Amino acid sequence: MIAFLARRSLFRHRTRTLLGIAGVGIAGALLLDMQMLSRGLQTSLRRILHDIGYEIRVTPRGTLPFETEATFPDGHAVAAAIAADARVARVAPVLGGTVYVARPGAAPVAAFVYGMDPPTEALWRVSTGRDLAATDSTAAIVSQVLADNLGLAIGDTVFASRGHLPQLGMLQSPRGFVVAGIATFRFDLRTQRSLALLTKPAQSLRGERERDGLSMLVVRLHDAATSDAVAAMIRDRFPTVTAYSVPEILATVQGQLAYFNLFSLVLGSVSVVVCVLLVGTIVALSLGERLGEMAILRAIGLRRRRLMALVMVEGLLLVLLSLPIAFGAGHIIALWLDDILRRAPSIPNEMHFFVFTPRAALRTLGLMLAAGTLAGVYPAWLMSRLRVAPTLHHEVMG
Amino acid sequence: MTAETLVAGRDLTMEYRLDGGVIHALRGVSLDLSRGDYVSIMGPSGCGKSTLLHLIGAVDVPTGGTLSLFGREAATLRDSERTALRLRHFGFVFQRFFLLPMLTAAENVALPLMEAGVSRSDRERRVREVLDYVGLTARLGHKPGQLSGGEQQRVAIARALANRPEVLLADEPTGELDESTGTTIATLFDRLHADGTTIALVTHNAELASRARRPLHMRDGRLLEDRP
Repeated sequence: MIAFLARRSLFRHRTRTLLGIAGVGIAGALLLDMQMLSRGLQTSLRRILHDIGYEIRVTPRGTLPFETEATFPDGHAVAAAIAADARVARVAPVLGGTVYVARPGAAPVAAFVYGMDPPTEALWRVSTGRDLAATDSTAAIVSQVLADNLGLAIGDTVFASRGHLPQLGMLQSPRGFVVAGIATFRFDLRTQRSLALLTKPAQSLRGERERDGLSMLVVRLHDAATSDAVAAMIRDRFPTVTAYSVPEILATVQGQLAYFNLFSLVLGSVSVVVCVLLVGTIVALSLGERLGEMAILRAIGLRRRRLMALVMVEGLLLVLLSLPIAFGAGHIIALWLDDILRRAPSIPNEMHFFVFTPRAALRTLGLMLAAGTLAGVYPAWLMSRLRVAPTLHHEVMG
Repeated sequence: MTAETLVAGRDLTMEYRLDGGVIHALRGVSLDLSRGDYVSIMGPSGCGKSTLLHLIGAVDVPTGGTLSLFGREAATLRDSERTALRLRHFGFVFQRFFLLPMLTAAENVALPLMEAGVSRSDRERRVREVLDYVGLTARLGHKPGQLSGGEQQRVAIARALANRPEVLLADEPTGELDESTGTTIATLFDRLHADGTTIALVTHNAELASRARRPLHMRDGRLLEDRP
């Protein structure tokens, strides 16, 4: 009966109620966006890391993966030592750093080189052509941006070098690579030029061959649950490196993104308050217009707590009806804002600020329902204090 | 109090404290209501008629005197117990009908039945029954705004009768109706009484009051006749 009466009461003033629902929906949309933003980058990074599929990253001591161009020495020896641990299924070396690339007769441009050996490829997705094979010491995968900048196509030769002579517009001791594929690199910035080679040619280009320098090792485990323990073991055993399990990387990144949490907390709180005030105002206004009816319902035998529940349910119903708007508009606004924010420099291709997750949805739902409940408290309190006889008298006299 | 006495009030007083002082709405009213009674109360505005009706109907509690409602002392009843009394034993009809405008006639009548926990099928049957009783079967799907004043009051009477109350209390039931429609309502009350419902009504309508078995008069918070 309560739900029935609440529904009928709300839609007595259809336009007012629909406007109220729209208002609550927009406040809810902002709340959803803030939930999506609060952990968006972290979630986005976690998805990429899980997609790539390695449980541990080993980097030069004190750095995050690709935070700098630092390398650690004796990379393949460290990799072999780690691989000897029974809990480790596979270790893959990775090198990254800046090089210069050019087509014959064209001015060199800076690019980022990745050195990885197949089948460890997971930092890029080939869109045209083929991926590197284990024997492709003279083949390269180039990013779409680099291909566009240099006008490269599959089968073309691209030259790369660690240094160049700007006055002459020439590469120093260039090496040629045949473009085997064009790919999207997951961690590239929007305008970043990248190419991928096998590890050894990449080391040669970067001058890391002698010291066997590597930027990172990625480690796959037999059991992901052992990742923290294996990471700790690597940190203890190899003084030149730091090891991060995926949760540790995410925790570190989250710490660096604390301002996003604060930002979303402030705006999320504001939207909850707006939600409470909006619902509370609508329900209180509606109740004020219906005091006579409430008194008559009490007079004909409806219990006080039933009518208090009616008022609370009206608040909750407003929130429930606004959910499609909150989630629909929230998604659209999030896409729009994400597109704007991702245009900022230093944002990798596949990273997103606003990420929809079940957790964000549930938190939004929970907070909105809590707001609806809270909003009903004051009108319900008013209802609890309603005196039947004077109200009826006032209604008749009025 | 005999077994037939449903309501017994002795020296009832009702005072309202306002900023300007104390208003004495009732000054020592004694009144019994027995099963099968048909009581009308007339008097000038502000003499305490409606206040007395609210006390009889467990809507309010007196500030002085004793009031027994179906054998229970009103002053000792909790709010929830008085609410249950109103639901089960009393039916209310008001001057302004007070139907919920967003509900149909049938839904308005069904409200007390829903609150009483009557099953859907029994509820639907009872709604048809009482609306048929007041001659409005054809209007059960109409909302109050689509009904005339007389029809609205008949729906309000049907709502009051829904839970088969032993006492029907009516506060100026013809106050908002023209003479002809008022007569229709008065005739309906006669029929209700003949069918066994105990009725107490407050009215300015002399014709309606005269139909009661016990026409009473009030002035300045006092009952002028009827000393039990």
